[in-house]
Amino acid sequence: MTVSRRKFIHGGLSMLGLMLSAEELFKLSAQAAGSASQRQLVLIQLSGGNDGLNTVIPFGTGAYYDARPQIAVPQNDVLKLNDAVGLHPQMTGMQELFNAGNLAIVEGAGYTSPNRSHFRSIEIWQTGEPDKIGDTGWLGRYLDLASGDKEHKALPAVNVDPMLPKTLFARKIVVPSVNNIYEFRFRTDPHFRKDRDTQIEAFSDIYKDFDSKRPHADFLRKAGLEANHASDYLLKIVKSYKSTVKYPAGRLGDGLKFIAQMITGGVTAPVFTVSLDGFDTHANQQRSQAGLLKQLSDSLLAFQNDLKAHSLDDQVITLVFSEFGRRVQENSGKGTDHGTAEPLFIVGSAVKGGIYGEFPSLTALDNGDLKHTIDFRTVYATVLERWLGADSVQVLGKRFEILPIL
Amino acid sequence: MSAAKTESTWIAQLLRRAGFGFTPAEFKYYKSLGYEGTLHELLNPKNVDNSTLENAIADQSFDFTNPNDLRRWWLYRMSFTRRPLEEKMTLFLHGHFATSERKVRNPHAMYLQNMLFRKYALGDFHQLLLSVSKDPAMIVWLDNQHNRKGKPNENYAREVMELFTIGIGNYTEKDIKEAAKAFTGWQTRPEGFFFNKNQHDFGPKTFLGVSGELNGEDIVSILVKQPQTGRFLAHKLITFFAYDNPDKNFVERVAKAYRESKYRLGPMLQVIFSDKSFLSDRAYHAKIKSPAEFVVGSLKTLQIENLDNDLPQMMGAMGQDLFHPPSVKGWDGGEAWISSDTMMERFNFAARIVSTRMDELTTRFTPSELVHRRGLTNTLQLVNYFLDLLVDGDVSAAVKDRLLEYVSCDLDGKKVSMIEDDRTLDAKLRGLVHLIMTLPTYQLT
Repeated sequence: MTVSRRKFIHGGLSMLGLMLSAEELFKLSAQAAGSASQRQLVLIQLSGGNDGLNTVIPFGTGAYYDARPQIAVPQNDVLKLNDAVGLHPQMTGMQELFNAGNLAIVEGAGYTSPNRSHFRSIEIWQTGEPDKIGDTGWLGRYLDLASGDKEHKALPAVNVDPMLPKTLFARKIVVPSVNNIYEFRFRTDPHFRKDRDTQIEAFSDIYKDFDSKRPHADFLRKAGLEANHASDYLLKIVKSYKSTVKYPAGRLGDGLKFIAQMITGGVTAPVFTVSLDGFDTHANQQRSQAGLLKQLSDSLLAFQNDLKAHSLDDQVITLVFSEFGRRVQENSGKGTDHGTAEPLFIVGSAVKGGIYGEFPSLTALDNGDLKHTIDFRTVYATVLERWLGADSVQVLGKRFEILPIL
Repeated sequence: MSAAKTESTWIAQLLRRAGFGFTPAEFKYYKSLGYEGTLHELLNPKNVDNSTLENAIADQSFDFTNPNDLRRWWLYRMSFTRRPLEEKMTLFLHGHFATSERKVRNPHAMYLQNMLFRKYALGDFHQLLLSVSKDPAMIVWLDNQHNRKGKPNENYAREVMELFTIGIGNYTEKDIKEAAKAFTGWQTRPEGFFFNKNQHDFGPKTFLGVSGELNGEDIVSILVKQPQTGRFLAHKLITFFAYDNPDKNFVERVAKAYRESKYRLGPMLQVIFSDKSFLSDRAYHAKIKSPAEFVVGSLKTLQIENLDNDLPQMMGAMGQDLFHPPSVKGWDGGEAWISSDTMMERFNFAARIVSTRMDELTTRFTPSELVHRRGLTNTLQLVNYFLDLLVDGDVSAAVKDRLLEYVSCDLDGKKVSMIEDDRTLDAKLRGLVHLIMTLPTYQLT
């Protein structure tokens, strides 16, 4: 996996010749913001494999309670969306979004011959290629395409995690990763403040022309240069942000708040990515999943309210996915093992709220697992065509149905 | 400077890869052994007296029920052990059998697991895998506690194949289900491993083509003997210790050592570190340092002996939080260590360990003393000295010139012919060391 990534990032850089610095990209991106509103996508990855059946709960189906005598959510506790399904009791934020018509749920998303390895299945969802090991991410390919033949004049995306997900691996574009904005600045010895400028000047000069034949040297040069350039600009943006919305504590709340800071500060990158880990609930899943779902749900609501307060809610949608759902039958440790199909969530004022797709049967199973009722790439295609204005066939390699969500 | 590579170049590289770098005194010692002698000593840690380390550790009274103490304890070992390869292999095995304290929630169990890795670091992989399968931290981590007769939990059965032995694509979902049955009843109790025979499925199973009333021991033994296990481990060890994308022949040579030694790790390492390609440009400065190598190596090179309490957190911010691997797959390594975010953390760690703010209580890194001791008189000598020390002089003339220019300015940025006072000299040399540590080359090993 690292092989192909290196190959393509390097290939991409040499193709570009002269790259703009991340700082310049951020600036240009902010300038372009002025008039036409730019559509933006936030992608949230729930890592570990979220148990979809205890997220969007088929409380009207007896087979659900039969399969999960210990961990099923009692009918009375479910936040009902209709007379068949409802949300986990901790998901009041998403219930509010649903009631406001700002949440779409797509049932039974998956793919043929599901892979139950975390790592392969994550890769499949990130690349959008279940049949072979792909080198680029589905959004990386979109961003490559959108950048066209012209030189890069806009920031393609920002990843708000320490490491870049394969979703954004590309041939041409390069995406910065910024985890904690407050730690993200070049420090020097505080006793000799005047030497700071001399030192930073030397750093920039050396990095600009750094030449070495060692493998990885140019990759490192690029990362270091980008880190320094992006930090000044981002710190300024974060300082100018004002909001009364309170985000829940935790990684996802912090991440979405930072994305809101960038968007309200004028960063028009079309894509932002962030993740939340801990969904691999093989044992005692009730408490841990409840905490995670609460974090997800409260963070999404805060983010939507923040965007609304800045009148930017029309230009942003958020897509939530996980690498797989989990087994229908609970295991003896009050947990669930790796499974298949799962519900997807799309949030935003531009979204036509509601429930889409068909809930997979809980009795006609494939080896104890749900049979998916919709290919996950249908949702990718919908987002690409209806939101990002891209040709989904070019990105996904074939045509998928477009859902009336957007 | 970097043109001619001598035996001493390769001893230095061996110590960076098979250990965590070296202090000047350590380097002098290993040079006296020569390359072969150094490798022999590294591969036979039991012959090396490590009592100075063990006594120092006993004096510090680490609290093994405290996760941060546990991390500090390990960093302390990495920094001061006289058996560097044993410690480096322990880190490799922690990444291989990646277990996280976040879920296990028992630092002492994590400590015992870590001691298990150290025990078998260069030894028998069969015994190691069997011990890991019965290790309480692993049993909790991969939920085997809940793997019961008639209600199997497949977590361990899947990962023991996908990540610990033969790798994805070499087994079926059916093999996973059968292996899970064989591991039913392998549980942990406060006093350690416990075989709960009431929960064990004694029925017949078929696993990787072998049929019988298989139990967990049988699964381990079948897996260890798969030729694919040797290749899987060989590829991973070469990538960890030597360089990325090894060719097939090299992998086969290392896998052969696994087979012929009846599944021992030491002989595989012997083949890797003796390979011609390891002593060539193919390996030289060809790998990106892990945060452990970056942090511990910097402390050793600069001879900083006081380890700050928050070192483990800084390493975590660089992407390697000891005892908290990101997933059961461990750390990917290579370019996956690097993003704009983790680069900034590396720069700031460098700034911190050279900056004076940190040494108000204890004297830390005082370069001017070193310079006087070495009798370095002009700025070119200074720059050369630190470039050799930190990056083996492996930079272009342009970089050297630019660093010279930096050192030739006083603290107000004015060009001066000579730095008069030690305070300015120290400040500029710290700035110089910081700059060298931010170079792409310094991120390489």
